[in-house]
Amino acid sequence: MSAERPRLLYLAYYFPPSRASGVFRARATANHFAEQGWDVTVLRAPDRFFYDIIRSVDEALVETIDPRVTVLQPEMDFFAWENDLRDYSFWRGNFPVLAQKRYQRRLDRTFPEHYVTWAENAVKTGRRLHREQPFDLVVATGNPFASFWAAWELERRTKVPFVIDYRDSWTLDQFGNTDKFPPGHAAWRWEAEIHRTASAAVHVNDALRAWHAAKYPFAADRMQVVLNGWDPDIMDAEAIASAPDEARPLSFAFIGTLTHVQPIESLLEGHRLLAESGAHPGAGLDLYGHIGFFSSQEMKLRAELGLDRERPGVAYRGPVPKSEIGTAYAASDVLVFLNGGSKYVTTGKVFEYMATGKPIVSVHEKGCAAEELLRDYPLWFEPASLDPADVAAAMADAGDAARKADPDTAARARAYARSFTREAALAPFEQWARELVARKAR
Amino acid sequence: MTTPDRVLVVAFRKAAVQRVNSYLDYLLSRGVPVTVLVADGQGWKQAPRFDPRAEVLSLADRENRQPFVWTYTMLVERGPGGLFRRLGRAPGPIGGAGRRLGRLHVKAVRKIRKWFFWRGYQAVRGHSLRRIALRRLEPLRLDGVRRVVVADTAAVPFGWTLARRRPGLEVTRAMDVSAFEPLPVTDPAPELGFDPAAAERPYAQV
Repeated sequence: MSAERPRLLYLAYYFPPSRASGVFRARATANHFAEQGWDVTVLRAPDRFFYDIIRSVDEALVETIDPRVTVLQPEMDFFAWENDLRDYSFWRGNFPVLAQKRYQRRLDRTFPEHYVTWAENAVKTGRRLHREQPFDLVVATGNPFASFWAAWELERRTKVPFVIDYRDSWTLDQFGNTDKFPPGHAAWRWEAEIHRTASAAVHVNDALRAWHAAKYPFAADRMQVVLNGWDPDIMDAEAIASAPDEARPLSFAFIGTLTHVQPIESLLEGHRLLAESGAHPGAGLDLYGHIGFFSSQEMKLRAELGLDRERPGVAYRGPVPKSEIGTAYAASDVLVFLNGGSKYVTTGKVFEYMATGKPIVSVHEKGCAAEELLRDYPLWFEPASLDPADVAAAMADAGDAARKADPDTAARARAYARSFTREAALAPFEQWARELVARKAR
Repeated sequence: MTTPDRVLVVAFRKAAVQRVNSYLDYLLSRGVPVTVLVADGQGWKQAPRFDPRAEVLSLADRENRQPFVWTYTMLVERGPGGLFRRLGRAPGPIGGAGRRLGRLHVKAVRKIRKWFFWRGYQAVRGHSLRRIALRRLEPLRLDGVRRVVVADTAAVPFGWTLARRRPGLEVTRAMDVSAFEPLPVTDPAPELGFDPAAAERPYAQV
């Protein structure tokens, strides 16, 4: 170990102020390691990427980063994202095909991802910092998976051990359960190569770990699971009252990012049938959060999801800054867990939902990875199928439970959720990392 | 609500048509006026049609009159083709030979076009179209245009020069609909599609 405080270089392209769904894991990892006494340096994407390219930012999140964490932004080439022709160089403006070919050759030579120029600069920055004061461990989180390449390259040049953290899978389509790349694609070669040298590969659930273990058996004993979790520093679960106000109709709420993989039509129809049945008169369906991960897709996705027209009782309440997420939960009586549904997809949201101690209605295909976690949650309501009538029945049952507001059940629900904080999920990994660094230092 | 400013879409390759059409559908359904500038003179055989609600202006005639294109089509395609057709109409063995030569010519032209003409022309087509288009800016009425969307790489040289000449004009490769306010759908496309006759060629030439 280089000093009393082990040094961690954390390659997290999506990091606050980004509001991408993956930043919460990255934020928590950096904070947890800093809290445990590590000297943490984060390399993230440049501001221009978040503010001008994907325009997907939550500045309140920056305030939640531990001040002991150093955050740097290696530069990158925005070739793939530059759309404004006023920004094009003479070369690209006049010879667009040749410029594209030259860019593609660069990708083919190094790593098959547009983010590779960021990764190249991350390697340069990492090596410079390592020369000044050596790092003990590099952790790279993907996507983008160019960060894995950067960690691999840093290990090759500096011999600092590295860990790859799969927030999403790289070569597996988690929703379709199919390969993302055709046979022979460079991604396969790189994934195998990176697994050969990585000290560990971390996954968000066991199904993903098992898939990767079967694919890369030579690295299976170096794979581990670090679940996502909820963040008590962002959401004060105890402050969220669980008993609904008798004087107003129930509020069923979805809080999260709406995407095209979610069965939103089942939910909207289910809500309509619930209203028709008169089970919970006036019950509203409130949708909080962004539509899509990128602002440029929002309008199109809104139309695709059928949210561009008025629906009785359904209100799209827009995005909620993470710092105010508790307000949205407090205003909700029943939470709707709307998910793409795959045995490989857990989502971080399910932990936050459980932390509230409120009834949760699942609206997703059977076999979703989150079911494993929800099974022991005492206020979970699972429809028999995605048929709107079944969804409406489950919503009615969850509404009954909300109205009943049994304090013991709510307390049991919250107690169960307490075992899924980020800290609880990250503690064994941090301990393992500390031991790895100590072993290497001997 | 005031009429939204016009959008100009520039598409010089037929590969862009389908993408452009879904973008057009979004805008035109919401009453945003759109002009499409196309160069459908070369390489647009069997291209799908643009949404008939859009104003489409074509550079085809001008492109086909370019010296290189005109000379090639005249010397290699139309000239010999016309000769063999006439020969084919003659009676007896001359007619038979003419028809055989005509068939051979069609096959040869297909290969020559693909392997020689198109390879050479493709490299300069964007530049050549830029020169043509920049001389015909008046029909595009750029003063009322809110943004120019460049739909394919062949149109990039024209878009790049336009962006230089008019720094205040947004010229982009992105078919981004979020820049427009959430306008209500006022003119949806028919569910069964447009009447094919309504979308017949030719587009208006500029």
